[in-house]
Amino acid sequence: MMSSVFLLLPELALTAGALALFLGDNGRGDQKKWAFSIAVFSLVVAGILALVSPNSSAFGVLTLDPLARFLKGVLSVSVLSVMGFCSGFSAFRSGEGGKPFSWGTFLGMMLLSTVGLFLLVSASDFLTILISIELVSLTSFVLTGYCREDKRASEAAIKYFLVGGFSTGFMVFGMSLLYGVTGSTQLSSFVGSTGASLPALPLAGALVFVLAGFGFKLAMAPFHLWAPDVYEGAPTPITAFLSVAPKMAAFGMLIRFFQGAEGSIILTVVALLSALTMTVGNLGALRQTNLKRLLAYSSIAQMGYVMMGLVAGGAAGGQSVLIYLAVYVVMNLGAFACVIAVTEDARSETMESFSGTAARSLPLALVTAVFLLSLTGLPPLAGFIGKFSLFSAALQVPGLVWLAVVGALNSVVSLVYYFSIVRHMFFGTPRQQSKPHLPAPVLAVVAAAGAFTLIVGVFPNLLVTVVRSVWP
Amino acid sequence: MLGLTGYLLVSAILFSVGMFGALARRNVLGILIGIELMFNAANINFVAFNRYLHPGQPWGQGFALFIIALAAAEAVVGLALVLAIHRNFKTVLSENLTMLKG
Repeated sequence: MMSSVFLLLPELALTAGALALFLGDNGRGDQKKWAFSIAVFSLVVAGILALVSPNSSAFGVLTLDPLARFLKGVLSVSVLSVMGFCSGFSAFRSGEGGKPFSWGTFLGMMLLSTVGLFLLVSASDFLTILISIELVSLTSFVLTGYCREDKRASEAAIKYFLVGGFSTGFMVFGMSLLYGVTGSTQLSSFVGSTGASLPALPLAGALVFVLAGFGFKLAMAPFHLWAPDVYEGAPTPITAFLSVAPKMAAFGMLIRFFQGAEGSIILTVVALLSALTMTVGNLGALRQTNLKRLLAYSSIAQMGYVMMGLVAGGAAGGQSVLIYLAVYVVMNLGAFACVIAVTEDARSETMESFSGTAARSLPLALVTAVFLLSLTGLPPLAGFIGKFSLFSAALQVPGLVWLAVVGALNSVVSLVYYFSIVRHMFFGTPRQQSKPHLPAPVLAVVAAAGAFTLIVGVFPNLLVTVVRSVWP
Repeated sequence: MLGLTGYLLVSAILFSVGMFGALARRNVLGILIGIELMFNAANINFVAFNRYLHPGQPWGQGFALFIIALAAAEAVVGLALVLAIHRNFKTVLSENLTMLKG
C-alpha cells in the first residue's frame, strides 16, 4: 500500500503546489512572481517525477506505463506553455473592477486541472476515469469564468458547466450500466471482451451512454455545439489550454478504452462519428470570422482525424494517435501563441487582426504560416507526419478506406480557412506599422513550437521512434 | 419483493425526468437540478446492481459514494457560476445568454 502512495508522487507534488497557492493567496495581486515560481516549480517537479516513475499499477485503478509517462511529459510541457501565455495576457495583468487579478488561486486551479489530466492518462478503472475527468472539468469551468466581471467569459463558463454536467450525467449512467453488465468497474474487465461472453444488447446500450459522455467532453460531432461558444468566451490562454491538454489526456484514456476492441460494432459507430466530426468541424470553420471560433472548429475537425487512428486500432492505430496528438499539441499551441500575440496587439479577435502581419513582422507571419499549414497537414511540416501516420493506419484496415478518403477530402477543405488567415497576413493592408509585441514566454513557445514543427517534419523518426517505444 | 427490475425502472424514469428537465428548463437552476437527478439515477443503478447482481463486493456502493461527492462539488462550482451570471446579466434564464454565437 505504501509503495502505491509513492507512485502518486507527481500528482501529490502538483496538489501540494496547488494547496500552497490557495492558502498563500492574499488577494492583493502583488504575488505574481511568488505564484508563478511555485506553480512552475511544482509543475516541473511533477513532470520529472512522472518521467522517472517505474512501470507499475497503483491501487489497481491507475496504470503507470510508458504510455502514461509519455502523455504526462507532453502534458507538463503544454501546461507550462499555457502558464507562459497567461503571464503576459493583458486581461489578467490589469485585473478587473479595480481589484487586482489573484494569480495564486488561478494558477492553483491550473495545477489541480493538471492533477486530473495526469490521473486521466493513467486511469484504468471507470472510477478513476470519472473522478479525473471531473477534476479536469470542474477546474476548467472555473478557469473559463475566472474573470468574473467579463460577461462573455461568465456566459461561456455557465454554458460549459451545463453541457459538462449533462454529459457527466450520461457518462455515470452508462458506467452504472456497464457495472451491471460486467460486475466490475475495472477497464480490464471490459477491454478485449467487447462482444464475447457478455450480453451484447445491454453492453451496447451502456457503451452508447458512456461514449455520448466522452463525446460531449471531447466535442465530437454531434455533441460539439458548446465548443465554439466556450472557446470564444474564455480568455485566449485558457482557450489554448482547453483545446490541447484535456483532448490529449482524453485520447490517451480512449486508447486504453478501445484496446483490444478491434472488430467490435462500437468501432463502426466511432468511425461514423469520426467522419461526421471532421466534416462538421471543417465546414463550420469555413464561415468563421472570429479567430477563436475558427480555432474551435479547427480543433473539432482535428479530433475527428485523431479518432480515425482509434478506429484503426492495434499498435499502428495507437501509435498514429500518439504521433498526431504530440504534433497537434505543439502546432496548436504555436498557432495560439501567434493568435494571442496578434489579437492582443489589435485588441480584436477577428480575422482582420492578421491583416498585413507580414509587412509588420515577417518572422511572425512566416512562423504563423508554418503552424497553419502544419495544421492543414502539408509536407514538410510535422502535421504532415501526423496525418500520414493516421491515414496509413486507417488504410491498413480493410473496410476503413472510405474513412481515409473522407479524411483526405476534409484536409483539402481545411486548407481554405487556414489559408485565408495566411492570405490576410501576406496580402492584407496593415492597420498600423509598428511591430506586434510578443512577451518573452509567448516568444519562447513560438520559437520552440516552430522548431519542433520543422524538425519533426523533416526528421519524423525522432518522434516515431519515441512513440514506438511507448506503445509497441 | 420489488426486485432489480423495479429499481432499474425507477432509475430509468429518474434519468429521463432529469434529462427532460436539463433540456427543457429555461432556468439555469432548473437545468442544474435536472443534472443532479441524472446523477442520482446512476446512483440507484449502482447500488441496485451491487445488491442484486454482484453482492458481496464494495465497488457499486463505493462508486455511488464517489458520485454523491462529485455531485456536491459540481453544485458548488455551478452555483458560483450562476451567481456570476446573475451579477453580470441580471437573469438566470438560459435564453438571455446570447452574447456568444456565430
